[in-house]
Amino acid sequence: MILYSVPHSLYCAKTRILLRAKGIAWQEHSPAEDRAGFSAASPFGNLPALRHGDFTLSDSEAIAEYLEEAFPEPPMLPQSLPLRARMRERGRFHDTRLEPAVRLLFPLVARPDAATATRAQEAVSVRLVHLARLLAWPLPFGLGDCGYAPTFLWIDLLAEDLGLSITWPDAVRTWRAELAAIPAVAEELRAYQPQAMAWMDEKRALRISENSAAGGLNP
Amino acid sequence: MLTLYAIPQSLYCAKLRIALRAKALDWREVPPPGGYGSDAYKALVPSGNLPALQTDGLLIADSEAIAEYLEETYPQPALLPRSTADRARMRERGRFHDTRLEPAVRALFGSLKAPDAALSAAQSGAISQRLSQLARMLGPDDLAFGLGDCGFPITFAWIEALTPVLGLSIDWPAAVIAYRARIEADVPVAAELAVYLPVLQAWLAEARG
Repeated sequence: MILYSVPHSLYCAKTRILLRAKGIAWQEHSPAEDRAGFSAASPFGNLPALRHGDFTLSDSEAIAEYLEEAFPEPPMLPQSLPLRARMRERGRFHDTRLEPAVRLLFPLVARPDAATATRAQEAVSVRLVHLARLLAWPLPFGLGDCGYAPTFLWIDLLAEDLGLSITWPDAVRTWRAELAAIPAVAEELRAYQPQAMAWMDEKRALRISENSAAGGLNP
Repeated sequence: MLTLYAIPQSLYCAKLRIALRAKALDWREVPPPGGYGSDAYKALVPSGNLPALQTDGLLIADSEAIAEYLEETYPQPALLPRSTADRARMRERGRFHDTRLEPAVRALFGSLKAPDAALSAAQSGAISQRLSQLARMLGPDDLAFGLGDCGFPITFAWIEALTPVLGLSIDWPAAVIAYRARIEADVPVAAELAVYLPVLQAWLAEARG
């Protein structure tokens, strides 16, 4: 099993949490160093991408469903149909609502913009309130949960750096602590946090050099 | 009876109706109470997402989560292939629609009142690139019509409708033209397009002001 990934990618971290939870061994390849392999695995340059034997696939959700079917144990989707639907809804809420709100903050590390930061801070807080309501349906740890721990980490790193005030509902705080105690999540966070912090340092360095450059900030 | 929360012009609601038609299911369609984005609707669906499906005490939002639920609850006719690898390809195709092609089209909706030549040129390039990637992903185009196809006819219709209005220049690869013709000949797709295209045109006329 080969996973094409870059170190700071949130969706690659999401996929590794699933690989760890399934107990699957994998090798990690960098798209820059294995161009041909990556291009074959992901015709449209999407990360993460996977090679399993002769089979290649990209997109973290398509990969997750594939791993669930190809490696059914331990199951990462509940048995009952309504609960499976809830689990998938939870995962999609991460990918299409919460994470896109957080993503708006990434460019601000190198180029601070107070108005965008305020809007994004509100958007993230609102999505966390929605999440608290989704969590009212308890589910065992599963496919739909894998993206959240990396995204929560990014919220902390970005909030600290950009001086944001994010409102964490109690239900989300409690659930986050439960997630962090799951071995697959804890292992991935140990490996991923230094990568996320290195990315922050890299972007902060750009901010400093832009500020100090003659002629001031770029537009 | 299934209840679908939907608004007429929504692309993702049309996508889901194609799956419902392909499964030969009956449904009742209702607007979100209080309108899209209302507090009344968010009391039902926390994210405010459309479409949402109500069935037997279960209310699920998100077109993909709903589609997978329908496939598991009403397995016939099957809208996912049998082999694990082909099922994965079908899901990859659907995700490519939702996360790559459709957002490149959606970026144009804000410019309908005052077309922006630079944006139209940029998105023409982005959409053409996505269509060329789709052509590569289709490969031999050997999968029977399925879940991952349902969004494409609707998005193709939007690209075509927006092209003269916004002066787009779109490069349609031959493989995509053939794929489009194949899925549009599918009965559930044709039935949905017959209903949706007039709604699309009416919405477009109103949005242009």
